[in-house]
Amino acid sequence: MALLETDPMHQFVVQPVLELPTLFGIDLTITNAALFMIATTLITSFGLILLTGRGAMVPTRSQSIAELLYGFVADMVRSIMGEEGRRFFPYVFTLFTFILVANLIGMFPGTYTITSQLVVTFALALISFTLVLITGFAKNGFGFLKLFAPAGLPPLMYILIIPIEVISFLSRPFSLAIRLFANMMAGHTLLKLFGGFVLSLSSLGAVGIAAAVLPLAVATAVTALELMIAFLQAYVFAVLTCIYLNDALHPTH
Amino acid sequence: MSERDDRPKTPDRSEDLKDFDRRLSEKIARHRGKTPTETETSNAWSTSVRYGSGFAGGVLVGTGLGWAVDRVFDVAPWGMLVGLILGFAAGLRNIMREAAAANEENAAKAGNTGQEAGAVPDPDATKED
Repeated sequence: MALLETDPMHQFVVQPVLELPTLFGIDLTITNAALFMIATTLITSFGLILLTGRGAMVPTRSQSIAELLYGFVADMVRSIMGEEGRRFFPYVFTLFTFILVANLIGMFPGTYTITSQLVVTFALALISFTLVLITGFAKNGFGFLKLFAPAGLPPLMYILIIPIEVISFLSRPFSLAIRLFANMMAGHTLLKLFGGFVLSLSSLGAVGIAAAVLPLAVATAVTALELMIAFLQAYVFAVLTCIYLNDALHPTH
Repeated sequence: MSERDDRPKTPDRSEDLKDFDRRLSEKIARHRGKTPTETETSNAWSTSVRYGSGFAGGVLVGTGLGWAVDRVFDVAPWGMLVGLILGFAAGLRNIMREAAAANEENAAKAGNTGQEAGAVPDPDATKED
């Protein structure tokens, strides 16, 4: 029983919260992961609507939070893709805020961190990747394929280089997904692990409680680190999407 | 939205708006001029995940493609073997790309702090400390 309470992986179990019938072959059951995805979407959208609701010329404190967020992503998009990238701003902003809010929600005890599920991060990465493909072919036609053939190599090398570059390109959504997922899952496992140490040590009596201070301190430090990682990984995901989109816009380099 | 809106304004406030337009355009031009430098704050864990995910992605996709080739053209096990090796190479290519980006970042940082803009921090520099 005590083992179950402190199982660090238990937090990642997907459980049904609300049983719903199957409709047109799609199981509509709401799981805890789905619930928190819906919550993330609602909090992000309504949060931003509320924050910017009045749209005052001189921003209030709450409005400037939204404007900081906007400015941050706008700067990022522009610095990587230039003026051409402005049309991707809505997508990058949505992606960034969704991941950021999802990560931050996960920092509250008792919540579910949806970005610690590989399938969620992979779905996000696939959306980015599909957008890159569409942009690349729409903008450059088959010239987009030049991305796979770096200029200035002896012709024989292309037999080897092109498959490697193609695989390297196709691996992008995987590495994007794995990166976010691994960061979030490892961090939360670590948190639960040290939390579990505190629990099992403090059940040993006075000496145990005294010793439990150590893992408690580590857990506190890891929480701070996790908050930083929550922001950083949302940022990294958005930046890499921008870089890949930029590759799609300008494939020759 | 690179062009400013040139629709006619209401006459009574047109001077005001013209002035506002001018100031806004100036501000936008200045805003577009600056390019903030982006850096990914690196700690050991996120660096290792960066390289690790790049490598794992390459190997996974290479092997997966090889497996698909095996299934479609019935040439097992050659597709998967070649795919694995190519995936390995692609994974290394990803790592090299990450490392090159990290080097550039280091060089930019060194340039900012007034040090020599060398590609990598000189390994001997730490020994002297």
